[in-house]
Amino acid sequence: MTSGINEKELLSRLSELPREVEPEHDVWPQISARINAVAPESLAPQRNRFWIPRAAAAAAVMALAAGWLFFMNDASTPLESPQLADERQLPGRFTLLMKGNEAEYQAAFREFVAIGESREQLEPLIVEQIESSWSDMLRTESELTNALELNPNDPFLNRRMLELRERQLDFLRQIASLERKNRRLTI
Amino acid sequence: MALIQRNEFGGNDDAEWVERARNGDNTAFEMLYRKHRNRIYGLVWRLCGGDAALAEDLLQEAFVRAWQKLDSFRGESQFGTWLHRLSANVALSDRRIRVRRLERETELEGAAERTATGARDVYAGKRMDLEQAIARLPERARTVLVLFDIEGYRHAEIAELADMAVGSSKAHLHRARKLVREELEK
Repeated sequence: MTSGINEKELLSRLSELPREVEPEHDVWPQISARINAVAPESLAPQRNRFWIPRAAAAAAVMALAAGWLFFMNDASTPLESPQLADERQLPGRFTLLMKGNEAEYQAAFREFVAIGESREQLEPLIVEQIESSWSDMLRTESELTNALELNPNDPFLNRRMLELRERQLDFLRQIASLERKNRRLTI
Repeated sequence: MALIQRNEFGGNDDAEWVERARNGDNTAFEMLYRKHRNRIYGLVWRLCGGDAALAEDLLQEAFVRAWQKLDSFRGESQFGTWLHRLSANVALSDRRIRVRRLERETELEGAAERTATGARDVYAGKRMDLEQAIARLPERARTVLVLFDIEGYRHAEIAELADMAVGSSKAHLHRARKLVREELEK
């Protein structure tokens, strides 16, 4: 095909295109949430010695966040494998996945609180590690919750929140397993 | 900080913001984001074929990656140059994954390259002929045209970023210009 526009003219038009394009949305809230989750060591908060109150607060925040998400989204959205679902359906899918984890999470969390009440039986170093890990997850959760309030349908944030809840559940399971092992050794 | 005003970015004070951000100052990093985001968005928006939603994901990813890699920025170039290159890398890495995935699924290499920008509305208020013609280019031809003709990269740099030979970069550029001219002729 013969073109009506020669290469010189094309190059001229290309050079006139603006290099700056304004995005439709400000993505700073999402960036902020993510960089807070990977903040440099110097920014990490002091380790919290009061892990039971913080854990209880976290449970309340999670329950609120979960409830908010459950009512906000259409629970009739069919559950699909995470790899196949359209990203725009993610909030509904996220809700169902969260629901799936919730009962298990609550049971694990009750056990976690019970373990906390008998923390003296655990090695101080282990207690410190538990506190530190839980504190990090709480910080991430708080940032994600704040960001989700601003952008409730953001697929990335919803995915991160779901992943966090799964990490928290896995963490609680490991603690329960550790406590059971410790109890057997003590007895 | 949402209240930061644009006019605070008047001077070339990136070095100061970078130093503060390196020490964990999120506000300083937000300054850098607000100063450079339109430039970076323009790059990734064109590289991904005008897909606004994907471009915003890439913009987000680029700045998170920059935050993580701030320690590796040694000030040998301008922060904006470093960030631009890092963002191009983020966008091209993401697109490589998408292309590979589509190739596996469809076993139609050409079609995969052509459709890798996804099915979302790619113009959203920017329906310009030339932009459309660029967005319709095959993936690698678009990459080379955007980086060479719009962003001013050299073939050697493009070859490294896009994981191709310098000769391929030149060939893709020739093809891209031809296709754009044909598209504009329609």
